[in-house]
Amino acid sequence: MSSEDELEPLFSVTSQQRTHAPPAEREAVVRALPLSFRDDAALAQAAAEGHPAAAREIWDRHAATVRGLLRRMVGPGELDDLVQETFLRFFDNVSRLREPDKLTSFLIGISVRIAREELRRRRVRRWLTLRPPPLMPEPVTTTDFDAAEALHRLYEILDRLDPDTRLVFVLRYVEEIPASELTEVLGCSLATAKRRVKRATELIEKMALRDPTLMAFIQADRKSGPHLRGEP
Amino acid sequence: MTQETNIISSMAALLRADVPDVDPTHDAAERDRLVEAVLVRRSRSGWQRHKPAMKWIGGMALAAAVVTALLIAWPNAALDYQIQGAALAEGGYVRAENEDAKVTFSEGSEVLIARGSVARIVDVGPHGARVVLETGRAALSITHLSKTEWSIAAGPFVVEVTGTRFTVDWQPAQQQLEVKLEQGSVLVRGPLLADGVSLREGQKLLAELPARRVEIAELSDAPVAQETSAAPQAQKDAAPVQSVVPPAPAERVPWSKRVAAGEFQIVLDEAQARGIESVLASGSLDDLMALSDAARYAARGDLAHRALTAVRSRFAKSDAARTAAFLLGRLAEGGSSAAAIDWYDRYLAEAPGGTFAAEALGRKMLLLRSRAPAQARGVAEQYLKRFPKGAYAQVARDLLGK
Repeated sequence: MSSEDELEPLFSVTSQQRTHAPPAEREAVVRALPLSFRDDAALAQAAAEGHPAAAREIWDRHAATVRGLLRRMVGPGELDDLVQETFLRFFDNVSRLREPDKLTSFLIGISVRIAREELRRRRVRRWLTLRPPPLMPEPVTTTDFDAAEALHRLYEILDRLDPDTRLVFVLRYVEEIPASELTEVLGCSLATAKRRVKRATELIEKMALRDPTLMAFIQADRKSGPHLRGEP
Repeated sequence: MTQETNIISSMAALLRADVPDVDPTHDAAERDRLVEAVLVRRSRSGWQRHKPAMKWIGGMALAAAVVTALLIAWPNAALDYQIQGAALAEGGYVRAENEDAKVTFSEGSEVLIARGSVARIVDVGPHGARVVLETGRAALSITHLSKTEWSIAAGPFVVEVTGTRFTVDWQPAQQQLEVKLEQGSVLVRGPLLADGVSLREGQKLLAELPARRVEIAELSDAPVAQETSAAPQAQKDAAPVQSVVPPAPAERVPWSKRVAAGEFQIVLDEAQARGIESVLASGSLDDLMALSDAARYAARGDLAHRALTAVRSRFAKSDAARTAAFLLGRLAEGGSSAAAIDWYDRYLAEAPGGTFAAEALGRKMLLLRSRAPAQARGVAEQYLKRFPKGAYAQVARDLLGK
């Protein structure tokens, strides 16, 4: 850099100072997001420190995971607000994250809490309106109409469950989180987690067995081999 | 396995396959919404800095017409940079509204962003930076050092540089890229460019996505067309190559053109009118790829999956079939990590040197990182061996404790 470009010493500028200081004194100190922030621990630390680019980076990295998880926990429909709430709670609480490299687990835990609250709100609304809300219309993401119908019936079954049972089923079997890790996510003991998994398994199997459309799809699926969405 | 556990596993698989697909534009808008909400909360609550030694202002947009921005080196010594002629906004945006903006880096590299253009400084490391040209023109003069990690992305294209002087012009509305190389060498990757096209000093490249045309010429010559599947070495030949892009049928706008114009729903409607099954069974490769793109952008992951599967089935030996494997992995990521990894493995087996090889391996590593750390470390070693300067290299090094 030339002497003309020599930089003034760094100083901290508050928004008030920035507004009222004459142009020549207005300097902005900007910190880049270096490649090392791709590591979750460094990213969590950056978020806790209020790094200006952390929100964007965390969204790019984890929004798809959070959205997918919320969808499977609460069902298809408008998820934008739930996703936003998940990340906002993350930023509100990230400074309390004791193990920064557990950023993903932290986010999953928040997503579970958000999902539980949403499911409880829906049950209350259902009780007040005396009828179940219809599944929101949305493009299906399966490859054939049989699967689409089966998926619709499956979400209807899940909608009839209490929030905790539904969450346990999704986390244990769909997200494949071992029972030992469910204790952290659900905030309960291992014995309680296993008991909830067992109860959820029995209840959902019983409900599925009574649904001919869902059972027909499952049985056809088992006969034809692993259902991998129509791959060649 | 009992019938009952079969039921549970089948239902779980069905749910896992229910992949939510989000329109990229909508995703970007939601991301901006979060960024703004975080800033508002921070300013209200008086964000507490945990590292008082690190001085910064929280990334608020600057109002001055000419602002000098300072970068504090992060503890791992990323490059410093100054910006003149433009305001720096949240997310590293540099909008050259009234005049050209110049970004000068501490190792001597310069990026000149033309008036009316918008770029982002996305990643700054100790050996370079990644610049995203959102729209307009940028001229780069990159200092050649023993270790440089510079790239500029424009739309779906990436220009990788080692030490050079060149300009990049990206017009998103026309989906048109022009790269003019004055000095040094660059490698341009992206659609239509197979595994990448090397430009030598004094050459220019023009890529037009809607017409699926690539032209390479001397800077001083009139443009000459080149086959889109040409290997990089072909550029050294002086003889011009005839364009092989067939003209679009007069009675129908090509779906690729409609996708480039953002007319995704029209593509889906036309496919519906022709009959989805008919399109999947007998449509051209271009139509299937365009249909898969339109379906992804219109949040129709199911249809995108079918179109990509049809590409792999009907055009198994094509480059597009390999690309389809990668895209199927991306589609699967929101739902099933295992399925996504499987697709990435297929892509890597079929196209080990393909355009998306680095990303496929990197994304596989990320997916394995929390679920199978030991396996992730093995992938990290592979990644570093093959792509030591790749976008995921630092993640790989961190995984291996290097």
